[in-house]
Amino acid sequence: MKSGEAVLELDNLTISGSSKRESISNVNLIVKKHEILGIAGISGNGQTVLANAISGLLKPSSGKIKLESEILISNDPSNIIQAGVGRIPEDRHKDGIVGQMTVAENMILEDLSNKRIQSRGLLNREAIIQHCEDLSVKYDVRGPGANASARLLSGGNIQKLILARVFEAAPKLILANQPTRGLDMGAAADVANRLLEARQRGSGVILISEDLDEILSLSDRIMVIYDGELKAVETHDRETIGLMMAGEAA
Amino acid sequence: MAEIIQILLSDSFWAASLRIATPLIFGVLGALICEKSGVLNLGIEGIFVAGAMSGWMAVWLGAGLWGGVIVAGLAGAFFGLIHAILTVPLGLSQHVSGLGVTLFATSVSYFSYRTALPDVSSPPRIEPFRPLEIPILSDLPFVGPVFFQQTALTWLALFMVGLVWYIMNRTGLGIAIKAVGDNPNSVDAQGLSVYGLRIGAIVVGSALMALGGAFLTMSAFDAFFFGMVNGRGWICIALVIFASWKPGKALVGALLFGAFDALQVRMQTEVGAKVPTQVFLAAPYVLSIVALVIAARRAEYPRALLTPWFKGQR
Amino acid sequence: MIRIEPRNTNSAIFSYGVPILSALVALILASIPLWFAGAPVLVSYVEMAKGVFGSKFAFSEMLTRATPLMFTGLAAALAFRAKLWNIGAEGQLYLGAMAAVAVGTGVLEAPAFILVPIIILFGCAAGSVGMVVPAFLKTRYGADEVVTTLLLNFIILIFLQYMLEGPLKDPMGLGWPQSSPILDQGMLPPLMERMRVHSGLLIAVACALIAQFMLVRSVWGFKLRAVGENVFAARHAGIKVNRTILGAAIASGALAGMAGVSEVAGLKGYLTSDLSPGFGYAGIIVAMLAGLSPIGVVISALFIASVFVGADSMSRAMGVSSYLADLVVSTSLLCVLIGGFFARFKLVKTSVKGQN
Repeated sequence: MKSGEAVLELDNLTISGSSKRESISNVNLIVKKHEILGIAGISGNGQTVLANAISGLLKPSSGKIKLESEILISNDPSNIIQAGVGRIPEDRHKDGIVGQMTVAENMILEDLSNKRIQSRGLLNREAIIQHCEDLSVKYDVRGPGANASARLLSGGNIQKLILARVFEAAPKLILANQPTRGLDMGAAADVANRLLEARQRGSGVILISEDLDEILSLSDRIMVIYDGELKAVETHDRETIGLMMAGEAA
Repeated sequence: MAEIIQILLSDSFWAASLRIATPLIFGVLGALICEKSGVLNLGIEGIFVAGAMSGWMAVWLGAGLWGGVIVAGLAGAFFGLIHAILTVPLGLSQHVSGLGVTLFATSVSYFSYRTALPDVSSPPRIEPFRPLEIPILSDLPFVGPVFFQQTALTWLALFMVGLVWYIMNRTGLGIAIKAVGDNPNSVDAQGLSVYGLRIGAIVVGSALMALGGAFLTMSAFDAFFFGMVNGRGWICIALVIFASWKPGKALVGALLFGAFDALQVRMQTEVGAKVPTQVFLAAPYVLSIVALVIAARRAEYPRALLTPWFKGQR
Repeated sequence: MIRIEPRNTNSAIFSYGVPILSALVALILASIPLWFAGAPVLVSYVEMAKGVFGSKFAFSEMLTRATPLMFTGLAAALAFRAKLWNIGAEGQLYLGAMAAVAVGTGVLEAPAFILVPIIILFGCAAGSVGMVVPAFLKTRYGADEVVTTLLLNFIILIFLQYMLEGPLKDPMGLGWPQSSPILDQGMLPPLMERMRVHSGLLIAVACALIAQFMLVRSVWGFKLRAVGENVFAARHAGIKVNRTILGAAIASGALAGMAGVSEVAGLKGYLTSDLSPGFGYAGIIVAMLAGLSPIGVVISALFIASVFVGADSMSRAMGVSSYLADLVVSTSLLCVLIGGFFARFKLVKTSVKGQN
């Protein structure tokens, strides 16, 4: 698979949180089109803040986030979404869905300004339901229907709902944070296929995972995060990466 | 300016400050215990009313002053138990449950008072707590009037500050209560009962709040009036945050508040003609909001505050 | 062992049945204090019903009482849907009333079709300000809005005293702390001849319909619900949380302010410091009983008003303290809370070993 120009560039990104777990220092990375960048690491080494910064939930202490060379004003998720970043959050129940709202409403959660589902601030119910039913078929979301509370969906179907939301927006960059954690084999395979498809289409993908098998099988390039620092790995060698994840210099 | 300094140097001012602070000390300690266990208790305002009414009523019916204090404490515990059942095993909204308890306790108190005393134009009076006159100490200059001419309930409040501090910081029980307000799963994993600890904390905390109410009718005044609590409970909720959930700071906060309140009453007589009285009347509430705004940013709330916990669900 | 499990369906039976059942239980529980007070229980209930349905006048009085409760109930319902705990409707009501009096007592001479909207506009705006301040302190400084709105109630009441003794005082009022009367053309027209029920009721019902529509069908309402149900997911999805909360605060405060306008320009005609016997706090109960649904607020306000009016007339007839009404109303809140729990969860007996 040929790679293209850079989609995302992090330039000396530093976040000083209240604890070591919540900090990263001088992170540099580039994600190109048609590329999956795997970030391997054991949870609690700074993945969450890194993901939050790219998602627009956290303001970096210093450094830049550039999307296709445009600097993102990053402490605002709506700017990030509009710039073309799709996010699959680590905690899908907490950050991914509003459980008390319907499946159909959760499908449009990130796309409220779309004229297809609203005009002059009023929602078009039929269009929303139709949109939900179309996407449910396309992304195989199974559950008690478009008008049921999203909390009634199984974990795998919640993740598929989020996938539907993210991939329909045809994002330039996809941030997938622990996207298969807690899922059954079928749903996990589905997530993996969607990420590969997105790469095919030309998106850049950041895959953050604890699951080394997943990282190794999906990633074009691999970096390891340990203690808030991100290091490039030139190999796909399991043992080397495993050692780096544990903080041993390779 | 000279007048203010004169006020600040007078022993009667400091005695009044401590007196005004007493119900707040009880209230803040009670709220602190509840919140440390992870449950906000907005029943406080109603529990103040219930304590004030039931304590007074018991004395009026002949239970004696300490009998009244016990009755007030039990009344507080009862309403606290309602809040505890609603918020702990049932896990309902602590905000709404607390407000419900406040409205319920207030209406029960008012209804009982009116039913017992249907046609009284002026409220009947009881013989309230007298200042404890301690030989020699009470006659000391300054210190005597400030500390040694307070009633037994003020002494009880000060003692409670020490007791609550000791329990929270030096006993296993206190550590367990704090843990259950921070991380109930860890407490459960150790085989302790999350429900038991939280319910217990709310019941005891509410009993303390009720003593604050009892002080109003049995020490500060000698009768029960409608509307006499007048937001003191809410002020306590603000003071707990200001005191960052520490008993010592709670005492300081309540005293500062009492001093400010005593000062505004005296200022009113000094400069009352130039400034509308309402400015002074509103000052305590404004001060509470200011204190809250200042404290809110650095407040370290008990981490599980407002979060219900269900056994067997993680 | 007993375990708590969420129910998998939100059946209509529960969402409508629970509030009705809770209200009935609270009414039945009222027999305990009645018995305590030594009143014949059944006769008392009959008196209570007569006080609401006994005559056209009684019924219109109930509607009159329900009007401000609808406004404060809507104020609480909208705010609570956004998890913005506005407990300050009582104060915002008085802000609305003060604004209505400030513009409606002669400062502005205008025909009714201009003056009435202006009074409403000023009243709502004043109420909004009363809620925007605590909402700002919450979003900007993290100050808990429960405490600030509660304390603001006291501050506003004191401010009201000042205004009634000073700037707003009626020079012809024989020294009483009350405002001048609102101009005739500034009053909300009555609905029935010789009855006190006024067109504020229609405005309240219209507000409920609009609020329901906005909540369900507008992007504004969508965002408000999303922020209220899961603020983390809403923020993650790019919804501007602070802006949404501020929007809820403006709407909520305006509705509470409208309660004050309606009371002063629809019923009393002038402002005193006892305009509201706790309508702001009762609005919280109205909203909870309604399950925070705006349409439901209309119905639960009618119920709560019936309890107040019925218990009032019963207590006069039977010599029972009128605080009974407050007791029934607060009991119904506790009942609906417990009922709401059983609507959302079921208790499941598990074996001692605890399978799964």
